[in-house]
Amino acid sequence: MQVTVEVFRYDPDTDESRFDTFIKEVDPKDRVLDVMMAIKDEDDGTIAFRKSCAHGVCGSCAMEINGLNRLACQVLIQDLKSKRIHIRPIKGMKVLRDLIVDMEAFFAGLEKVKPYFIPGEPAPAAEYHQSVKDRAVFDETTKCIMCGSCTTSCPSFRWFNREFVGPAAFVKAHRFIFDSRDGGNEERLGVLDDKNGLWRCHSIYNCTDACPREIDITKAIGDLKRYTVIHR
Amino acid sequence: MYKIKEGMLSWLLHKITGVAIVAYLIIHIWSMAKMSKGPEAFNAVIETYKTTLFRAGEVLLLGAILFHGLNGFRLILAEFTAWASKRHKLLIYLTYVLAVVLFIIGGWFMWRAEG
Repeated sequence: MQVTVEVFRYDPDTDESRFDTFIKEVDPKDRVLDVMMAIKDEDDGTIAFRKSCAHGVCGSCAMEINGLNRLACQVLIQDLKSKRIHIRPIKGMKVLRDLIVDMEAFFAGLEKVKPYFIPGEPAPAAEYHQSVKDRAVFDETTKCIMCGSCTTSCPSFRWFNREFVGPAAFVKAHRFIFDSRDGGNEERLGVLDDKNGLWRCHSIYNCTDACPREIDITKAIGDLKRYTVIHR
Repeated sequence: MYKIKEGMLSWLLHKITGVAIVAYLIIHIWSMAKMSKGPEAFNAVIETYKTTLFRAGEVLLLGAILFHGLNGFRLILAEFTAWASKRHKLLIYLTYVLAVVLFIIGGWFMWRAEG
């Protein structure tokens, strides 16, 4: 089948942006990433976009495809149900070139919630114990690949406040706050219960829809809201 | 443009109806202040309320309050219970259906009543 691919282009040297259109012959079972690679190989080698694993694990190829944040390596052409493919960089971040954005603001939000294990006091004499039930509480939020699809789909982040720590940071916070071994909750709650924290989330569910790992992000944020209300 | 899905549509409508309700409150307090100036002033304000424009506005106000209230209730459920958060699309559509049904019933009674 034939598709029309419109790709956002930005040249930092001239500071000009435009959409380039390519007509491509594709298989309905091709992924958007395959089509992008074909364009890069056959039509225009100067197109810049991030990709690495191509199997939905690394989170490099997040982009806005037909108005929704998706990983290009996960979307089949047939699933788009459209012969027109409109590709833009994820929003709310500074575009460096074409589909490549500066992820600094995204990682700054992540760092704020201390996304690493903080040992509880007192530390156990031997290894930490955790029951299967306790592990299951935060199982879903361990799956995040930090692609940025959720945070850049969120109007609270994109439209109003780039200081907002964002859904991805909440997912990380959820993963450690609900870990029975972790002892850093007090430090993290300070970041969450802040003007740029949890309460800027209005349960819009764009993040849940955008997540390529199918994490129910808005539910995780709800868990954190309840936890914060009870513990602070 | 980013696609507007159910959750985002509800959020946008929640903002719009919220601003509309605040605007109504300002008009309401202002007209109450006018009414308090005596019987003639009271009658004059009531006459304005009887105009088609105001009556239509009141029916629309019912719609705004119904949606804003029901959606607010849905949000409380969604943020405080994982059960509701997992079923957010169903609850959003339920909010729309309830708001529309109550709006039609309430609006019909309001519009039919003597001005």
